Amino acid sequence: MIRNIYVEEQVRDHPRTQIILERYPAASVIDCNHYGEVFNPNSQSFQLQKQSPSLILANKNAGRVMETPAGYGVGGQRNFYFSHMYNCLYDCRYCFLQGMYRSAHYVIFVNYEDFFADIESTSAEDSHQPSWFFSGYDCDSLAMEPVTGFIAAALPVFARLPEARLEIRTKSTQVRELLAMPPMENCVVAFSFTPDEISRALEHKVPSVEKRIRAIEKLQLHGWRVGLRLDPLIYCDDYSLQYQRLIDLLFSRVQADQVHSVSVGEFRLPRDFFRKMVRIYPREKLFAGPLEQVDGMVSYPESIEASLRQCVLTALREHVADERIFLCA
Amino acid sequence: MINLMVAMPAEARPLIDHMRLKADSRPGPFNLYRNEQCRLLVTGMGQVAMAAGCGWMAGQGEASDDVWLNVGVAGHRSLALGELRVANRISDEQLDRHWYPPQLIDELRGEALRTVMEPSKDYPLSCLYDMEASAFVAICSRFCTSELVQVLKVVSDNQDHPLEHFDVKAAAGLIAHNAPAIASYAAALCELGRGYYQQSEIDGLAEIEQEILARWHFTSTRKTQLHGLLRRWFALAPAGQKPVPFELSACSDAAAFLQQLGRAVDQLPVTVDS
Ligand code: SF4
Repeated sequence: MIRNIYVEEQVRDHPRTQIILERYPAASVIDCNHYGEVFNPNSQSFQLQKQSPSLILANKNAGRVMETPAGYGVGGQRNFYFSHMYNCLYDCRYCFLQGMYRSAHYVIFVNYEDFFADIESTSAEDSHQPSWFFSGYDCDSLAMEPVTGFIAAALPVFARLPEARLEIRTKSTQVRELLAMPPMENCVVAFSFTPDEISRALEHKVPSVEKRIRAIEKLQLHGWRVGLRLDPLIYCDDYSLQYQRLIDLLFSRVQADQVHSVSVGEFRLPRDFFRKMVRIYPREKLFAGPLEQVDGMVSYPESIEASLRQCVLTALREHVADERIFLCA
Repeated sequence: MINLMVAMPAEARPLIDHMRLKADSRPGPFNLYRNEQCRLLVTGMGQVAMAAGCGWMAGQGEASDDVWLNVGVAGHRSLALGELRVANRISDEQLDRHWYPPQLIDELRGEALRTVMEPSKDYPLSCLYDMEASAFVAICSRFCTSELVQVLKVVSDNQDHPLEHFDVKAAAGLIAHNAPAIASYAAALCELGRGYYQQSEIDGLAEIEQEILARWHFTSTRKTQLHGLLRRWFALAPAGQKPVPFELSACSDAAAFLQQLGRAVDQLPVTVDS
């Protein structure tokens, strides 16, 4: 339930602002000059705000489409990400957003058309090879879709850009909009998973593994291209059993030959993010595990990472060809 | 502990009565009233007085679970006298700065507030007008997270009942009328603060840490290592295990202790269950 909505001066009269405000007639509307005045001050508590986040409606003036870090992607050479939103409805303990942001308020940038114009021009810079655009970097792509309508607005744009590829990364089961329209060749709906037990312990408010699989089944039946993202890989004493179970379950339900790609990502956080997360959740077992700090990054030691990776890759290769499996940095 | 910061004695009196606060007889620059859960300071009017009061109160350093509440009267162009609001945007007219105290308590309606140097007689904007709140939030959010620093105002004058007719007794009556709602909000703020401060602590860790630090000399690097290892031990060790798994006296110095604790932590089962 949203009880307070901050509205940036620049978007006060934006039609999308009005539509979103109408969804919450009982909310207090608070004017602000720039969203950073609300979102960026030092003295804020991410975990307190997470109990009842507010909405911030704002304009994204710059940096709408960014190059992904090296090693991020599913086989393309030109990879970009964009975030029409900061923060997430869900509350995964490993999520870097809680280390990166001071505020847990949801920022929605309502100037979607500017994002789309930047996506078009970025794609046009090199028409000889596909450009991949990853949604869901600083948020979950679909969790707030009923409020934002961003993906519904983005899909017709990508339909006009066959050389562009869109990855909608999510843990949400809000796929009704997608099921109501014809599937698109250049769009992949990518679902992230950790094994059920890990998900229950760490992915708070996230739909269960079972529900996500059901959403995939529906999408595949409808002809949508689906991706699987095992990211981040989480270590625990019986990780091998847990990941084997997850992968067996996934491929007993999804049509393996229709899976566009599977990517595997490691648990890795900048040191300062990690420290902040530990301060918020000092009792969290995930942060008490065998982690080490190298060059300002916190991750599992290479020996553990290698075993985890190997175990997952071996299990995946029983179901998917190597060329559809990607390791993400 | 709730720190209630109030500018005028007339605003303070109804709260002192309602919350049954007792005067603190120790000599000091301000009048202070208190009970087990609450301290109320009468700061005097204006930003300088409020800033001085907040600084003084923080300097008392009595509680590690402080929350801060400024309560007082304010003007508003159109709100009826006696309306109680929580300030959701506080602007300092002189500094042209704004604060947005995050609103997590759903008990009161919110309103924007402007802090001015001189009492506002003509209410140019549709918002509350006071003379202290910006100083209060600017100072208190330096030593407390801003969710726990809030401002409540009772409307004491408006266009139909302008400031010229302001009557201190009537103001006290308006606060008295709202005292139960103010006390209820203060209790909710305290509860929020309790959860916040408890979450960042691990039961029993500080005590054992003090015991260990008292036993050997730890450099600051080793202190950090010790804290990290104890945190991991407390997170991973199965419930019911001793705070540390061996006799402290078996170690000759800090380095030996850290080594032994490190080994013990590494042997703990790694699970994710909560
Ligand atoms: S779903 Fe993704 S963005 Fe949302 S909390 Fe979890 S990791 Fe973070």
